[in-house]
Amino acid sequence: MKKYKKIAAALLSGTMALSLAACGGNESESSGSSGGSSKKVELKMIFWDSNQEPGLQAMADGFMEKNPDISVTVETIPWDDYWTKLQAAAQGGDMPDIVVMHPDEVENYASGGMLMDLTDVLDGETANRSSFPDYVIEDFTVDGKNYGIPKDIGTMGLFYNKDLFDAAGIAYPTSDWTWDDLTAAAEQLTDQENGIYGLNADNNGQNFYWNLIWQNGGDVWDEEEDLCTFDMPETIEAMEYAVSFVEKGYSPTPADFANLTADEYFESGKTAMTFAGSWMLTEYQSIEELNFDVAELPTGKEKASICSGMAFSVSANTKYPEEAKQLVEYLGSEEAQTIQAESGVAIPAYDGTQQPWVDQFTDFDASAFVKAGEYGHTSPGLTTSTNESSAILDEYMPKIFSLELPVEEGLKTITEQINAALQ
Amino acid sequence: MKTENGKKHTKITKRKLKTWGYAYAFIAPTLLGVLILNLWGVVQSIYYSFHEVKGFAAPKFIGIENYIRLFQDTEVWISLKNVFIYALITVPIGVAISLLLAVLLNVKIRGKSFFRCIYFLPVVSAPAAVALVWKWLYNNDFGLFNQILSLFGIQGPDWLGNPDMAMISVAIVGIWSMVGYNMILLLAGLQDIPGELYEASEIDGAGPFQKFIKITVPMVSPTLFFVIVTTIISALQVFDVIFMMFKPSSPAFKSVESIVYLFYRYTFTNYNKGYGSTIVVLLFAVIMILTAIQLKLQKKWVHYND
Repeated sequence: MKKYKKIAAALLSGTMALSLAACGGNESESSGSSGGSSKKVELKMIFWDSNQEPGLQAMADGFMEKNPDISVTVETIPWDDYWTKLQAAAQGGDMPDIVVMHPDEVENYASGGMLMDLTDVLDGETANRSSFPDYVIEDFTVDGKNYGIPKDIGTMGLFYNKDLFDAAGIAYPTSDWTWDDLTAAAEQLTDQENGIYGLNADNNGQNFYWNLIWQNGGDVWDEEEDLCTFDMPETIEAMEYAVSFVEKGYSPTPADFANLTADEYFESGKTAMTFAGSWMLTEYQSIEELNFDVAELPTGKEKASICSGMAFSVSANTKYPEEAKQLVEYLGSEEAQTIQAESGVAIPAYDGTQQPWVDQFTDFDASAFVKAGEYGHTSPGLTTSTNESSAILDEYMPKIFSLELPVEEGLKTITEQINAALQ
Repeated sequence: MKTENGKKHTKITKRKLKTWGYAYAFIAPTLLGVLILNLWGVVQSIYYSFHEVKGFAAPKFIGIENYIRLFQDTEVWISLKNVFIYALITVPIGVAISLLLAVLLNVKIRGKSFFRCIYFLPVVSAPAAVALVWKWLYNNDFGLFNQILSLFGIQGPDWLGNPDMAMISVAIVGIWSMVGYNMILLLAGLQDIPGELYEASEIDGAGPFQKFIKITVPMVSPTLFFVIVTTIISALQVFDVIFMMFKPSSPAFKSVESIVYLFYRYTFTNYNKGYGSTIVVLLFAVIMILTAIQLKLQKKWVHYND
């Protein structure tokens, strides 16, 4: 039996290990322009949220109605794979014509020469920059050039389970709730015997603690200096408040969240309150047993909420640059953004189209999310994909939320390490 | 070239050429696949490991800077330790179970094909789906395992949230998924063993255990060797189960993060391909060394028939 020769085994071991690295670059695109007999221009657009696919498709249909010679396909790639696939596609030279961009990722793609400069579209009439909130435009500006036509804005609200509030006999949250009100309610709602928690205090920046930090006048990132500021006294105080829910047993612990996500806790009626984004509305709505409503986030020293905008970007290497530009211009128009509003899944970025979005929801008052836009903070530079602070945060934050590491000590270590890594 | 020699030479070459031509034509699809998909990846990874490759920027040569960072990076060593623990749990137990099942399914019993099929099912299931199902089985509050344990009045462990338990949870899934594949390989090896050997040993008065130790194990050892080598390699490359079951924000993450997961995070989440490649070159070296050691050791226990 000389089948299992040494060479074969050695080669096998080697190639199995290293071929891992090569697996990214071989995506080939099968959809698209194989049937090139007619002269129809085909554009492909991708996004990560399947909840939004019908809305995007409706926007694309609106465009195709006006431009019968251009066909647009919309494809959903789940968030977990989206950036991996996009990176591979961009490197392999077959990036989809239109991609929905995230503020954390735009710098990497724009400075890598993967995106088309859309400054002139924003200077045009249909999707003029004055029609959108400044911060969304800014989030997609790299070196003075605009790379994104604002799509939607996402803000945070305090979702609450009405049944659990009724059972505990306490009043629903209001927009003038303070931190003390939140703690008091969480305490009353927590029912350890039945495994009910008051609030999800999850180790999640965007969906939880950043909001508290800004509400306390702190910050995690100094945009001017590109420095991490987790050691600001206001930030430490806010994080101590965030962790206090775990400490007092009003929130599931990180070990619990390893079993069920914060969303799952809220959706299954095991947590009475949770901070969640406007983009979660339609998902929560789809759960029949969940009887919920939403209020503005509580107020600390000030009102604050994450407010992150998404934008449409165009691949620099698209085969049809003119048509692709035409499409994003339309997607940024009042007409298209109204279609988006009516689909209910995202708050449109175009000024004045938010009311149709609010009106979509008859069971509850979604205006809290639009109001949050007035005091919104954009995604901090801390989370830009190309810097490595997320690894440092992943090392210490779970320990802080698990109460293994005192908040102040942990945050000082995080600050030192991130700033050292940035040098 | 001498003419008289040349004549003879051409004659052979013609025939040989034809044989070679057929041979290469038959292996061409696989060979091309290996060259393009695997070997090219090897070359590129080694090249990248000496460069800074961030985002979409062109690779910039930085010498051994990545390697210096690698040796100072405790996370690398922790994840390497994690995969060694994983391999130490899964390889002996997994291979032993595979061999046991293969022996049991090699005898004439009713429903043999049915059982073979059952045990092979995990191999053809999508790893991501498998991991998700197991994640629910492991769930602390609603999971089947802890429900069953609670029937006996036992408070089940927090399979996913407890850092001391997490690696065992991953290893169980790993063993469950590998057993079927290894069993089929070993079964093929077992069926190569001539029946006369057993008959002869029976005449000599050997019991079932003696037959297993004296005949089955030595005769199946080449296959067993192959199974062990490939199982160790894939254990050191464990990724998908961990990726699906644990998020980096989990408190148990640090005790299950594997070296390939670390590579994935640097390469695909941080767009730092240079350092990611360096990590995977380290894994390559580790696997090479381990495999070389096994190739040396095989002389002591692997019995080739010819």
